[in-house]
Amino acid sequence: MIVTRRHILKLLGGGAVGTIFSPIPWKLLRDSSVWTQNWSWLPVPQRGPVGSAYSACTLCPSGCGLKVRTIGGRPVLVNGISNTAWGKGGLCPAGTAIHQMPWHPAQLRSVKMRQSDGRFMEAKLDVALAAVAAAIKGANGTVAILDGRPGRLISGAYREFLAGKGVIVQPPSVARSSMKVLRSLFKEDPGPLAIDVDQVKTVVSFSASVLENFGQPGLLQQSPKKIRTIQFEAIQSRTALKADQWVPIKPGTEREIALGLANLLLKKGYAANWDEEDRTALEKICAEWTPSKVFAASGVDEATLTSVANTMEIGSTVVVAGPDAVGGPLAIEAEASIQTLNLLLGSVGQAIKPVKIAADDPAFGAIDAVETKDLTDVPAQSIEVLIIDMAMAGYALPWNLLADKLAPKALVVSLTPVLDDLAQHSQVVIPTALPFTTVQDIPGHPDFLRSVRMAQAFGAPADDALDPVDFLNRLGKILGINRDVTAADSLSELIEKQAEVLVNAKEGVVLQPKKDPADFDDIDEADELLKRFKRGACFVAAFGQIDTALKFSFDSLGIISDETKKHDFTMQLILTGGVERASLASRSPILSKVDQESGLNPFADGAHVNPETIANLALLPKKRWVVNTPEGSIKVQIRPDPTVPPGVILMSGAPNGPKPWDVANPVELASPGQKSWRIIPAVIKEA
Amino acid sequence: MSRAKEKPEGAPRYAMTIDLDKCTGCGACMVACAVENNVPPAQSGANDRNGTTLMRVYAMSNKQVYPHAKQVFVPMTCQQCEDPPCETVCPQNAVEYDWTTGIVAQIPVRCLGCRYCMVACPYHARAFNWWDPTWPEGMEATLNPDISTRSRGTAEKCNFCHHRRQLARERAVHEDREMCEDEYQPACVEACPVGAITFGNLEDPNSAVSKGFAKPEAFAFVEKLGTKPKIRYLSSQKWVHDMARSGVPGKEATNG
Amino acid sequence: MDKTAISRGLQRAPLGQFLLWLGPWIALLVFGVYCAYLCLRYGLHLTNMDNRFAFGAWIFLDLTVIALGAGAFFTGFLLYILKRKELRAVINSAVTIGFICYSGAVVILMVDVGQPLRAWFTFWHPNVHSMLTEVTFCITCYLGVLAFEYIPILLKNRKLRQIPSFLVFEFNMHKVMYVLAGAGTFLSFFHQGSLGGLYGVLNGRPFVYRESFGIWPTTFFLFIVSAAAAGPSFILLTTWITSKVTKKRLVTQEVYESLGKISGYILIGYVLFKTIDTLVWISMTAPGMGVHPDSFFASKPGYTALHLLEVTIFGFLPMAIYMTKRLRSQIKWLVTAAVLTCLGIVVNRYILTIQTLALPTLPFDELLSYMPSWQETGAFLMVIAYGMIVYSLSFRYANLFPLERELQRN
Repeated sequence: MIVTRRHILKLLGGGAVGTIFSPIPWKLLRDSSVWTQNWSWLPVPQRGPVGSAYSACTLCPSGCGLKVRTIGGRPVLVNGISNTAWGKGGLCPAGTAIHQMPWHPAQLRSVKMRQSDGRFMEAKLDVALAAVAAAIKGANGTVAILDGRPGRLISGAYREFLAGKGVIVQPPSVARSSMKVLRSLFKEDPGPLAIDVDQVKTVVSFSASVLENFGQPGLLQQSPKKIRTIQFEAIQSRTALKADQWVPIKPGTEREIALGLANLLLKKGYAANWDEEDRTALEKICAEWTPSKVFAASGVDEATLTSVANTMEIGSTVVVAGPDAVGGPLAIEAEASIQTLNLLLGSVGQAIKPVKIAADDPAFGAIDAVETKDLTDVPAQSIEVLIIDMAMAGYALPWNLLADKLAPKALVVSLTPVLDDLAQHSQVVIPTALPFTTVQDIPGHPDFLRSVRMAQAFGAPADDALDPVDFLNRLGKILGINRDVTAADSLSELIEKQAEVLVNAKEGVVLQPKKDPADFDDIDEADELLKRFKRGACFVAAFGQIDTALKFSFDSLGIISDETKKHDFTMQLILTGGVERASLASRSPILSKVDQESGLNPFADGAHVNPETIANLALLPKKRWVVNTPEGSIKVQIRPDPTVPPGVILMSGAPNGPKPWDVANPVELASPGQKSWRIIPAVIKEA
Repeated sequence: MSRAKEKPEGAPRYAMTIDLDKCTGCGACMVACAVENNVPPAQSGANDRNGTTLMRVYAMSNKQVYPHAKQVFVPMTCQQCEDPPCETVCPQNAVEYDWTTGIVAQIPVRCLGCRYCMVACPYHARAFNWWDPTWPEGMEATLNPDISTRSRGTAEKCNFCHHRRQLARERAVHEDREMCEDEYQPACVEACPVGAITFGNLEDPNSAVSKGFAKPEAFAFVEKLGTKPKIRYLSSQKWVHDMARSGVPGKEATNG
Repeated sequence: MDKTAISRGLQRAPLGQFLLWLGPWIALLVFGVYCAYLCLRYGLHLTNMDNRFAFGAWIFLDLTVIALGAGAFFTGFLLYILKRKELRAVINSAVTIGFICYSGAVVILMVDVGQPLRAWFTFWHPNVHSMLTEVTFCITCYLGVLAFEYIPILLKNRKLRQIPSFLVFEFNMHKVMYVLAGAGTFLSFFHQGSLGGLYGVLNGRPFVYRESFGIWPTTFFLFIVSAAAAGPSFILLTTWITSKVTKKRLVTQEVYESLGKISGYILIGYVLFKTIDTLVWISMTAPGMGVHPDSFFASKPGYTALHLLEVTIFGFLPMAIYMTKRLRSQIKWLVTAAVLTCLGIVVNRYILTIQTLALPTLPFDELLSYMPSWQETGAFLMVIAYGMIVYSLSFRYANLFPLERELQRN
């Protein structure tokens, strides 16, 4: 047989037909479906033994308790738990993703120093430290450390480091916290105070985000009693939306309303038990704030004011104001007026006897040896060396507030895990450990009841991440500064030291999740306390009773802030942005679900203005507009928004998500001279 | 298709209530859902229209002006309809109503990516993987091993964290007992800091969810479409009920 | 140079000129293939489709070309089953266009789906309740039918028919053409209908949901009728364009008029049916789902005009033109009516695909907009270029218009 082309073609054709009757093509087809499930570039979750651990969130001062689910020791999920005297187990979105922070893509991987041409270059730690030490040694002006989260062990170390020669600067939100202002109303500082939330029936809030975060997210909502909330606020924030009653007010009139309420409460005899002198002093201040005057100033009518006053009962109503994560604190006279109401309502409750502070307690190291200043009180251009530690502050601070305080050629050092806003403006940036990679002490708020917890490490920090205690040690070595109470090689050593102190002091109680509280009869060794901390325990200072009769001082109510009326700026810029819209350092990329992949950042698309205002000012949407403030201006898109009060410009101050404007953050429009930037005088002009 | 006839005896029907009076729109549920279900963070170019958000919080306003403007935050997820419009339309049966749980199951490994189910769903519950999932380097260590990652080109949606039910049942079997319903809670329910979401078995008349369904302030969105959703929203505000009835914002929506 | 491949007696442009004509289309095809490659390689995020616009330009294109390509089955039906002999003049062209439309649609669909490797799942795990399963089966089968109808046209090429087995194959195919035509009609009826049924069954979308006859919503039947109306119009249009471009008479006036008349009759049915359907929808179906049709476009009133235009300018007007004998005898009116009819298809598919998805379904939704990205548009144009190239090659080397030789002689 001669094999021809035809034979070959027949063979091939027959073979092809025959293959269909074999398993080969069908197996291949089915396998292709398996390939499509298992492409090599798809990450495969790693398996491992399931475990759980306790920790605490380090992203903001709330320090919510955490239960961490681990797989093979790696954290894969966190849930909020109630493991403090006040927490109810709420957790904010940022905290929900804290276990992802160790892999934050903006993580700093090396020390950076700014060169003469303005660019950042990688640098060796020794070189950076030498530069910092030299600057400190040769400083004529102030050497300052900006401590964004005072009360930590490192805060004590900072104080010991600076003792006698420097200043601890606190962000205004900390320096002028509600509790601090409340305490300043006492003639004699009563020490740390507390609010017993379980006794509260009514909360009257002045522009505070109480229904989003009151110490911890959802605290009021999770209370066993139904708590009635009354919100005085210019804009309809989320708390205003959820409150039982929202009272719209003219922006910036919290003080007038508070004094008006105080007037009514005084008339109801709420200060009957007070010292005569104190009562008279307060009556004098409040006398002019009749309901009609309050109405003229704030827009709150007499009927509403009276009905709110009637709702406020002694012993079960608490009044809240306090710093806003984005807008900072209220003017001091406003905060003071508001806190006065708490005095009238007796909602200060049982004042807590300050725990005897052991001389060797590292958290209180050198407590009286260093001046502590509110940033806004620092004289302009007086700081020559500034070390910034805002990583655990939980909110962003506008750079221009700091910039004004710096001397020309000042050296700014940032201790931070990510290259955030403030680090961008610094000369030296030193990486510190990201959350969940290092143990961390979690103090309570420095003005509240003292508490101590511990955040655990799951995994190791980056090679270049510097322990802040180590940072001070190395600097101290060069400068010849030795610390005593806070002497340690590392933060974890300092934590052990503190545990020792607490155990020896034998004061206070140790709360434990799902167990009865323990006291120091059960816990007689530092190691045992540390073990309990690792299992989610919380040390709480004891409750007590002040024996001296309360006497007050209302001087701060008379202060009028340094704000002269800016007549050219007839509108008010209000910055909003939610509660934990903090700096980059606290948001895992998964927060894009909230920031980018949903419409929950609605004010990030421009300047929201009431349509009536737009019409009155002929702000045509097609043109380019500029928001002018005394500090500067930014180009904006005007968005008609009928929910915004007339005359107000509402913009997002949150540095997250898409940014349709020129500056990094409109919060930078706050004037350095301003003590409060809740309301920024502004006006809209054509570009 | 009659569900009642095909449902096994004693099988649960899982449902949810979401209290709109409580929801502050914080988004913790969205983040917890993404963490639990191995949903990757947004890729460059992702926005609220093409991001993968199996649970997503919307803001709904009464379209009035200051100071009468009101708003509620609405966490929206798969409504686990009893008559799911997405089930009948999938050309390769990658969507199946599970009679043993009442959950509408989505089978990502069978999904062709035709997106017809997404067109069919009126609740915007479904997301498509427009990108391949990528995490920042190393962050894969935080992935949940109880659920697979999905490649691009497939549709996905909430499945009430069904893998948690499987784990709870396994644990119960291992411990030689029945699983109690409280042991199975989706991630969003646990994460909500104000406790706005309850979850449970509708077949149990004493469950919180059954009681929630019976409340006068409970409603479903666009109920007239006949999909029989198994999520009820609670609100004390009448305008919210009025708006939810109509699928289209229009004249009906302007009543106070 | 390629004269031996061109049918005897037919005049074609010189090769160089032909290649010049093909050049830009080939360039467009290459660009389009590149765009399709990008989407397959990097992912569909390169398109501007999103979770709300899950269907976009490509599905719109698919629906449009499949409706326009309906001329293939309908002409076949009319010629082989109803014995309308004059349509023999355009049947080859119709089949070619049908083949191009369906193969192009399938290609773009493979780019459109997220996991093209799983395309066979529909055959393996079919969902009998889904319109899309029906569409998949019928279109695949019908593409096969079209291939069987198209191949003989190619095989009749002067050079290819010299191979005896090809000639035999072609002859045998012709014998079973009636079967193929019947199968084609049957399959087309169902998939044209199911494409409409895709939307009509969506009980989550009050905008498109319609009452049903049995399991088939009215959109099922409306799509069949509109495809039947558009098919002949599109044939008319493409024949006229081809004859204008090639400067040749390809068919007699009688053929044009016949196509127009057929289209006109079907349009009567369509306009009537569509009007009744819309009225039922406005008064009963949509309100029953809790929505008054008024409110769909409350924020953009201009959009409702499109619906009106579809039935009037793009439906009633061409129908009137076609049914008027005096106008029908003038080619310019026939072509105008054909253009309007085809545009009617485009508008109708646009409304159902794009407008449906733009519309809110929940009270906090907004009316959305969508514009395809350049990669989407490129892939879209790839199909157009592919069509032009295949049609041009078919016209040049196969005998698409049997009457051409005769008309050329006269």
